[in-house]
Amino acid sequence: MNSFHVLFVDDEEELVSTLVERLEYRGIIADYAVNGNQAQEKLKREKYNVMVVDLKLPGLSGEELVHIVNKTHPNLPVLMITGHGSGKDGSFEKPDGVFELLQKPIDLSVLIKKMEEAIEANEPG
Amino acid sequence: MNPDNNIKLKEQFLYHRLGFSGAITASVTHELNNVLGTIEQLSGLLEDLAYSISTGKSASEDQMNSLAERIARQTKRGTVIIKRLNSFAHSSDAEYLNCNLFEIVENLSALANRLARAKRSEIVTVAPDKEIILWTSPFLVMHIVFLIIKSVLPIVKRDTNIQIALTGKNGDSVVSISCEHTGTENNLALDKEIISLASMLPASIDCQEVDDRFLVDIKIPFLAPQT
Repeated sequence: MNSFHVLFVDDEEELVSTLVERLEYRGIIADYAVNGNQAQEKLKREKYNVMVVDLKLPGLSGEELVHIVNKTHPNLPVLMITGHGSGKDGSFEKPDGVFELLQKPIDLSVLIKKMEEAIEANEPG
Repeated sequence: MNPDNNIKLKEQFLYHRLGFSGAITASVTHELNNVLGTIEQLSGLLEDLAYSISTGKSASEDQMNSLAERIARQTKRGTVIIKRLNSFAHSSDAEYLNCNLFEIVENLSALANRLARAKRSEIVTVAPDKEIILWTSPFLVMHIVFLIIKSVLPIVKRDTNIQIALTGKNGDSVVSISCEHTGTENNLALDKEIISLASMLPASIDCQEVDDRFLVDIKIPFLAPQT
């Protein structure tokens, strides 16, 4: 697949900035926001092929952000990441509007594969 | 009291203690998961850099030092979290202990801060002018403070602090928890468990609204340290 542009949204800044650096080694253009408001601002300015959102965000939650972005950017596929057993019963259902739910810690090769699948599934025709 | 009621009360008390321990453990393990995940990615980045060098590209000494520092920062962060969790776990070694009140409140605040940050707030503890050492139940004190923090979280104004200040007043030790609230339509609903836990300590709870702030005082009668 050709290079693509991804936006990460996660308040763990060291984690997400490291992911961005690692993806750049692989020819993927990556950017990040540390909360939902910052993500919405970036989405207004830049064009992204896929967005990866942490479930637990300060203020606007990951689910709330996905709900908004699904309306403002209906063609932008979204992956969600979550810490192990975020739900009260130790599990968590994939929310509506999310292509795939991934568990932390993140396996980079799995993440890249899922991002590519999400972009391909979203391409017309 | 009817013996059956007494047993039921004890069971309820134990259930709530477990619930509190579980809430703290869940929050802390989430944070540790983030620390380990970050270290994993940083070590991956180191591998990427090594691979890049093996293909003839250069890497600067600054790049290597910066990566080493970033890994060290995360391991230090993890060590602090574990130390705090360990101190929390040992708070129930005995029901009553000689305690430095600020130390136990500050430890609980650090462990509960993740919950506050989810609401875009921050718990800030203010040390007393003079050390407060007293004979009390550290676990119960932390449990009460935790439940009060949980009660104020739904109404705390975003991007403001929840302040916890400690003072000595007329022989009592007072833990004051205050925050700016989001509006007059929001009333502070304290968890009913708080009053029953306070009576066990024993302590009294005083709750008031001053302008746009809620203030909850936990008054703990001073019991001299035991030798």
